Amino acid sequence: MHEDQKYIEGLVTNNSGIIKQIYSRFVPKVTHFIVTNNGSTDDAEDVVQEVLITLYNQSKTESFVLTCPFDAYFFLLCKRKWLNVLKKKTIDKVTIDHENVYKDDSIPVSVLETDLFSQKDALFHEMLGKIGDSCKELLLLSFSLSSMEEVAVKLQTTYAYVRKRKSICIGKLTELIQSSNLYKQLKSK
Amino acid sequence: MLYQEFDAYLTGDMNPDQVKELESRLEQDKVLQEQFEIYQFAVRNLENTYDPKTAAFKANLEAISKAHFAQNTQKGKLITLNRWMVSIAASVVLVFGLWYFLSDQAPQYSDFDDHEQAAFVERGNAEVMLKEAQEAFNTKHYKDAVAFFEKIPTTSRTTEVTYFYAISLLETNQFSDAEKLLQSIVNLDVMYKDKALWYLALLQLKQHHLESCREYLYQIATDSEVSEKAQTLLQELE
Repeated sequence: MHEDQKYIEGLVTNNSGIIKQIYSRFVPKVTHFIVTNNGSTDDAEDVVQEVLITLYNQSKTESFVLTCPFDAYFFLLCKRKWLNVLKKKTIDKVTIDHENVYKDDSIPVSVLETDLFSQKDALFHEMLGKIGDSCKELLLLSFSLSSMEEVAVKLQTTYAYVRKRKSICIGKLTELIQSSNLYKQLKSK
Repeated sequence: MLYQEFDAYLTGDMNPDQVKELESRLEQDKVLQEQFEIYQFAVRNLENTYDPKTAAFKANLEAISKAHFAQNTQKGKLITLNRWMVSIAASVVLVFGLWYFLSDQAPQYSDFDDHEQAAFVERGNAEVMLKEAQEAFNTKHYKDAVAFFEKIPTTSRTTEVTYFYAISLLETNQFSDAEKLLQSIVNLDVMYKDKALWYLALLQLKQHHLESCREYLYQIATDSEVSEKAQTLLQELE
């Protein structure tokens, strides 16, 4: 584990002091990169927030351990995200050698792990959007209320029914994920 | 039925025999195992997505982000205004005599080498080399200071002493040794980290490695005591 794990832990525990340190120490370099590569400070603000939310999600669901300095790790993640944005906009005038960003041999393992998680996370949210409104409502209640009994009361139905529906809805989500093309691509990585 | 089994397993609602039976099937059936792993992945992500703490984190992050970018936009506006005023002044100079405007536009190390006074010798401290090093440093006899610093026993080498030793090495162009000491301070001492980063930037500037200089300046915290100097140098490097 790297000593910079404290930044990951600070995100996961919503520690304002650590989050502010991340912004003051590491974000200016990202902002400079984006602003000098066809972006704006608004773009930098969005990219940074998305990356930090990804790091939070990864640590909450996978117990992520950082094995390199946070500085390089964070910068590379933001750089790759921005270059993907530009790629989708099909802007040609990228001033840096963006080909190097896609070569894996010089990139820290932690960056590749987070990159992979980021794609899995995006796949999950995409499929969550496709399971239908009644499943979405049921899952929202199931995971935010403290018990399934409360969910049953809220939906004015039985405990047995909501338990069964919950597992069916998660099953539906599972099947959507498993049958997607992106899942098949990620599986091969 | 299968998904109800997975749900019961993950919520701990199965008896030990049922647990054992399912785990045995998972071990033998790779297709089943894959389905279970995706189901489990979905459950973990749902727990995180709908956790009130996640919403609280995102709200806090949004607030900190807005404050950071608002502050830096203000600084950007001030920098633009200062540059405009400098441009006007430079134009006036050009009008009254272009041949006066000969100096190199790039920032120089000598513009920023105004070091703070060393005061690491405590009253009553009898360590001679510490006193000699401090005196030599404060009177700008850096070559002598380096010689004295080298003789200070390891037990007396606090971060503060190491910091001034590194500056002395920088002044005498011993870049590699200075860099090692400054980097060790960055890695080990939160109190001196930003000041060490400032000197790492100056070390690069002295060798005219302007891009590397910039890289160090970006790492300096905006609320540190050296951030104003760092911003000034960054402006001059652009």
